[in-house]
Amino acid sequence: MYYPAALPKQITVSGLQIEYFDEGQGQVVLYLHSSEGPNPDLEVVKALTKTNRVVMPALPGFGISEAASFIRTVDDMSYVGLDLIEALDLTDVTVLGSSLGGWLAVEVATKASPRIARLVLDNPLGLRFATDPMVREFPDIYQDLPSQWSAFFSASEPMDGRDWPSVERDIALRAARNREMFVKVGWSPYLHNPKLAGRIHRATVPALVLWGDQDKLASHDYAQSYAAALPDASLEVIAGAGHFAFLDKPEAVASAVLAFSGNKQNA
Amino acid sequence: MDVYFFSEQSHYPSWGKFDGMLRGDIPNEHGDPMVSSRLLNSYLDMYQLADQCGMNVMVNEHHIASTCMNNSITLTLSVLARITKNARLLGLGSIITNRPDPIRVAEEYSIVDSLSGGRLDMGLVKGAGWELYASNANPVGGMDRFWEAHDLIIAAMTRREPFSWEGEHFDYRCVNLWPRPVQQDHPPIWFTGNSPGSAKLSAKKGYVNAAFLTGPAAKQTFDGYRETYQETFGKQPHTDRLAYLAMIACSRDKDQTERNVNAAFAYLASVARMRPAHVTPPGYAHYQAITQMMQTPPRGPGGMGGGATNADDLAKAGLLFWGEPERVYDQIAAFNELVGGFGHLLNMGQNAHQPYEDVRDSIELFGEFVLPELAKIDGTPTAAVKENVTA
Repeated sequence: MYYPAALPKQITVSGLQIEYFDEGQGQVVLYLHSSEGPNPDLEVVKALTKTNRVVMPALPGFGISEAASFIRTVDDMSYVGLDLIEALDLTDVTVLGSSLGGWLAVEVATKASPRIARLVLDNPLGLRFATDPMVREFPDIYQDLPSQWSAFFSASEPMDGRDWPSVERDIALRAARNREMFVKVGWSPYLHNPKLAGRIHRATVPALVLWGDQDKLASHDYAQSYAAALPDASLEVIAGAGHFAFLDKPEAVASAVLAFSGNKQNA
Repeated sequence: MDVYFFSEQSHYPSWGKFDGMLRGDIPNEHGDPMVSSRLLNSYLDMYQLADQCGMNVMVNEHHIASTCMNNSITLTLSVLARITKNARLLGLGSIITNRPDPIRVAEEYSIVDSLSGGRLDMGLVKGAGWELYASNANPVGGMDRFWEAHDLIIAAMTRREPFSWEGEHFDYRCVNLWPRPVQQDHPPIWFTGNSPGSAKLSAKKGYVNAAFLTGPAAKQTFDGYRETYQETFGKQPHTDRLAYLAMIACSRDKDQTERNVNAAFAYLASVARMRPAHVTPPGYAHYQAITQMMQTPPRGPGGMGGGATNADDLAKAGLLFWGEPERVYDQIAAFNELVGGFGHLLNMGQNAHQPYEDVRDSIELFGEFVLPELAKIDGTPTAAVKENVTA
């Protein structure tokens, strides 16, 4: 599992000081990170920066980005995402979101910014399809310690090998803060927004749902239902990847982003 | 020093029927309802006897646990209000961090104070980590909810006109508490606080701070309380602001002592049967505290008791005061001296499989021989503590 990292820039949006990364040239990829937070050294970020401008904020309450009492849900975060897109004057944006970030990408897209061109959803959370109240859509990772979450997130590193006593204080603080915010927005309703199902028809931009076939958190059925719930989406399975496909198969995720945005450009 | 008798009211016969965790995970199919009925009534008998023997009484509250069947402080206190005569009735405490309806807490506590003619001590607590899985309250921001619920409960008990409340976490159109509590402005408030940091919270309000089974570390907790109390109120607190909870077992002979000590060890073993995440759920502690934990390599023997292997270790660790009454008194007096003096001893007097007969003997011996001696312990802080605070 990867360590979180500091991001070089800061901007105030929605009244919140947000740290972010903004490098590379070309078509914009707005990358919304997973629950483990942003890191510019992630392979997927490095790969995309070669051909695209990659903008990656630390979401409110993650990294050192400010939190506020009005940010209680992923839906609340989506307004910060929209404000960021406008503040940086981003257009023709490909929004790439991983896990929690994929959920946020859909929440943003339902608010229908004309600046968003397409979505790539890397193992997104945020919807619940089960109708039986005694059936849980995802295993309850909050009944395990965060050090045990790697088993649900990564196929390549199911054992969390991070050595927290040895890292700089700043990195450990970021990790702990990221987990706190992940619990705040994910606790209840558990990793989904019941209202999203009633709004998802508004996310009309073309979307690509990626699903790692080793995902221990969300099933293949879930990913298929997710793609079906979106107005214009297809599903691509990434072999050998877990829930964090961006971590297990970064080249596959980067290639999918490039192919999807290229295809749509040429279309 | 006064004393509050307490039992966690466990369903201990279920513990041997299941290999896993005794909180959260143990299926209630192992909890024979007729056994529950017999045990709960037996615990009430103990409380009644403790009252007759001159003690106050304390109940706690947990959920999803075989280690504490009492899932409502105020239900049990209502019964105790009727079957006890003189005892103060301490609920420690109502988990207001997790309750969606704090006014219900105020209403029920008010009934207990009313039924008992003003004998309620009102504990308000943050709650153990696993309680979040039972209530499903968000672990993040729990203390904000705690304080808003606290303010609301105080307002409900003290305002003499109906009022509305539109806070960040709670929203009421009409608050109007009937009946209002007998004790004015409100019953005494108790918090639990097992560290100097948490003791500061109760000290700032002048509430009673109770440390549970922390052993000699209670000295730092109580010192922290005294320091903050001094800063806030410009004087030293009376020892009645401080309480300590320990297991206590008086016995008539060696065999009974051995049984009591074994029950204490069985309790300590049951404490360990909990998922690590249920001890500290993600988001439960502030991220700065979590960072400190992440970056601190694991220490020696974990768990409560720190690896105690015999009865003497347990007494030194401030976990169990045991034996004939004289010995029990000596152990309590020594511990009281060690931690700088406290005014309330919370007597966890029934543990694990400890049967009614042994608990009965312990209560009677304690009431006859130990209680009168503890009552003589000076209720003011010791000189050493005063020096420490002003230094």
